[in-house]
Amino acid sequence: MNNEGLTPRLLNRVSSPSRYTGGEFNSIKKNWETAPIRMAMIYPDLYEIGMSNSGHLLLYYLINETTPHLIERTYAPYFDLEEILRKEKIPLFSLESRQPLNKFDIIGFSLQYELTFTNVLNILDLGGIPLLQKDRSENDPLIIGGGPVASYPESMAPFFDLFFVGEAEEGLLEILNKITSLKSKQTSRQDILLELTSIEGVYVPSLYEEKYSQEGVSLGLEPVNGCTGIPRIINRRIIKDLECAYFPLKQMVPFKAPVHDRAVVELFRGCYRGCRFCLAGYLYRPVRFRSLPLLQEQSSKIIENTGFDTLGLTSFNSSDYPNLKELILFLKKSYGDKLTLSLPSLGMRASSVELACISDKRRTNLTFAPEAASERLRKVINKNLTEEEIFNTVKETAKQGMDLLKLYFMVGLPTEREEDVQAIVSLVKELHKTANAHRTSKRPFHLNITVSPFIPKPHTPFEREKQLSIKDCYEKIGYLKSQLREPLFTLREHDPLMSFLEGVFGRGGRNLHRVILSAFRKGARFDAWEEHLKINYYQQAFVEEEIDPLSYLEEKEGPLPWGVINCGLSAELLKRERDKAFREEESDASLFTDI
Amino acid sequence: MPRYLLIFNRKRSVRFLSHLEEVRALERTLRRSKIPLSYSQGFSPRPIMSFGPPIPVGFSSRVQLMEIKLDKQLTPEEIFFMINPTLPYGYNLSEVKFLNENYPSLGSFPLEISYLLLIEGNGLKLSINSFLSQPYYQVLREGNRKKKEKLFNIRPFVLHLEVINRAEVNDFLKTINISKDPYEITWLMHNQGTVIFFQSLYTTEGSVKITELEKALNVKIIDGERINLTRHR
Ligand code: SF4
Repeated sequence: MNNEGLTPRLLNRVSSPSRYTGGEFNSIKKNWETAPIRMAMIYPDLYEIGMSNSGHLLLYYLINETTPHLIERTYAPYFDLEEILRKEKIPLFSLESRQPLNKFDIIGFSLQYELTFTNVLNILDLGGIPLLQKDRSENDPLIIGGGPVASYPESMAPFFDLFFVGEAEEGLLEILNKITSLKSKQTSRQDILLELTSIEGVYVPSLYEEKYSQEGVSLGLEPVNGCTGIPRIINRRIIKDLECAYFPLKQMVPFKAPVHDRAVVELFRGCYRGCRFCLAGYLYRPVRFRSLPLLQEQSSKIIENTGFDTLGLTSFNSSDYPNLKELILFLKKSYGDKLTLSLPSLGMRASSVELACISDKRRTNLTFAPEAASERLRKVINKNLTEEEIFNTVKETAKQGMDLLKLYFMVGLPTEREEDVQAIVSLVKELHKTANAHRTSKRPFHLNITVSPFIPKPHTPFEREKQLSIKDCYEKIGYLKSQLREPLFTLREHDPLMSFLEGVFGRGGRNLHRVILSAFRKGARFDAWEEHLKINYYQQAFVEEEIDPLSYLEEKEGPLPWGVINCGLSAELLKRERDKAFREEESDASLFTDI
Repeated sequence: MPRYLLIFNRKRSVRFLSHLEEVRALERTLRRSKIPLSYSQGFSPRPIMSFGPPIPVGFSSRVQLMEIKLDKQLTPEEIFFMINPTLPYGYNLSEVKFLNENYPSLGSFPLEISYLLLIEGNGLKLSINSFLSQPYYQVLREGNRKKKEKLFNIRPFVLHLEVINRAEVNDFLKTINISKDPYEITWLMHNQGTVIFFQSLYTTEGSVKITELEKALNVKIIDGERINLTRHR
């Protein structure tokens, strides 16, 4: 069929066709016939969300620009396109050469969080690929999962041929090259998987199963009987030297505006801090920097190659970059006000305010995440943030003429007591007074508060903690809402139903895949979208599969489902950090060492 | 400051861009091209540019207009060769014109816009004739910003409407001095339906939207191409 001819007819019937056309400036369409390996890279959410994720685009450019292999992109189709595809039996296609997904050798999913799981299944299904790994045959693509969730993937394990744990730049190249040579020798699918386990970071879940002691107690995952040559523990990979690492300078210029419509440079990887609830703070250690001259050069080239008027200086807690001010001043000097700089995650301190102001003069708001309101609880989570610093930051924000501050807090953190939740109210009210006393803007100062339920994350010191029930979340958030009201404050919450699903599927074992599958079959899609989340599909699925979701919110004992994966920090270190949390002691996370 | 009029084609997948998406894509193209664009003053300087009439999503075009100002005078050829290579796939610059200082700015004078439309089904001659025979055709329009909906007569903005025999499309284009475009004509071959030549008047007082014409004729437009755009005298 003439693929180009097919699309106008199709695309004229969907609400936002530029999600599916491809052809963006700097997108790469390679010769399909001559590429040794053809891979589809999928971000399982809408185009405009996916386009804001630089990780999967980094791999797209790395493979397309530096190897003979080919990578094309696909995003989750919205309901209207799904309906057309199903009705007309058209397989889901890639954006570049509009090839059906089942024609690719490999399909890679960027797994950022649990609420995209049903989209993953939908995409496989629409692409004509059997959902369960065990049902796939020799000609089906290999399904690979990467991104943070690949470090705790058990609830999705039966759908994947392999996961890649950690930063994938080097590992993906090794995987593609190995598959190329194995395919030329007509190696079977099963043997390819077996061979790939020799690449560090590769986890082939079908080669591991849960073992039990004679007393019937779970011992965790181990290689299946007879499979001796494979690693018992999978080490996550990281790039050692960021200075020499590949970074795309010809970045995608999307037609449909993404959530973050900008070019990006990456200041550093990992995070200096070790907030005890945060996966990012533990998964990508140690911190690795790019030098100032390299970032200056990359920034200029990227701006020239894309024509963007906004550049994001991205990293976790970007204000930890030692030369951030120099970089901002350099870019301001070179481009003046024709370039807007965005600093997406600034640490809460007065100096951050100054940086935000020089990077964007028009700025009227700032966002910070103190996470906990009482000094005690901030020590428990190792936020390394004093009350004095919080007040100084807010004062500075008001003095610099801004009139809106967005603050993030959590409820349900370990050791949380009633007075810690009350402390959010009193702190926010005090901050509001301080801000208005120092404000230079004509408009009254406004505070936007977002409250999220704490979700215990694997590989963090809090990986075994208890998670709040949905009801308790609503109660605490309801209390905060009754105390912090419009017009002075706006209080939003991260949907407790979503936090519940994230917690359950994040810490769940393989049997949970049945629930995800069943919810998908009932119609669950886009679970991260408030207007699309259908919690009753999940409720029914839990009942039908006879799985009690509440047990996953409890404190966890014994072997952990992600126990086969080693994230670079020892169990002892995590335990020590947990103990310190309960003693309300802080740690200097920059001293954490690899095992 | 020297002013220029740029005329673009839009074909293939970029025909699915909305007006806003097209504006953004072309602005970024100009930034990449490094032509010495003039910027507006103030806190957030933007390139000084204006665009011709918006086109419906899904329509291709041979005449997308854009007017720009430069800080430095360049020849139209220089501009052409700076911009054309930095355009996204599907766009092509067909012409660059230097505009005289007293030439009115884009949007200040009426335009005649011609389209070829592909319409589902056959036997449209009757509904076209009955539409053309009336002096009025009122449509209900949403008022902008809290204003009430109001009736609007679209008939004066429909200058010409004619069914073209599929086999004679190329000859017809020749009679109005437009050469055929091998790619764009393929949609005629691939799809069933009736081809219509439609000429609309676009003025500061008003214009007719393609969707309004679709409703007025009670038809479904499958595809369309903007083939010509001239100053209305
Ligand atoms: S500052 Fe804390 S919350 Fe932010 S990325 Fe680092 S460890 Fe995580």
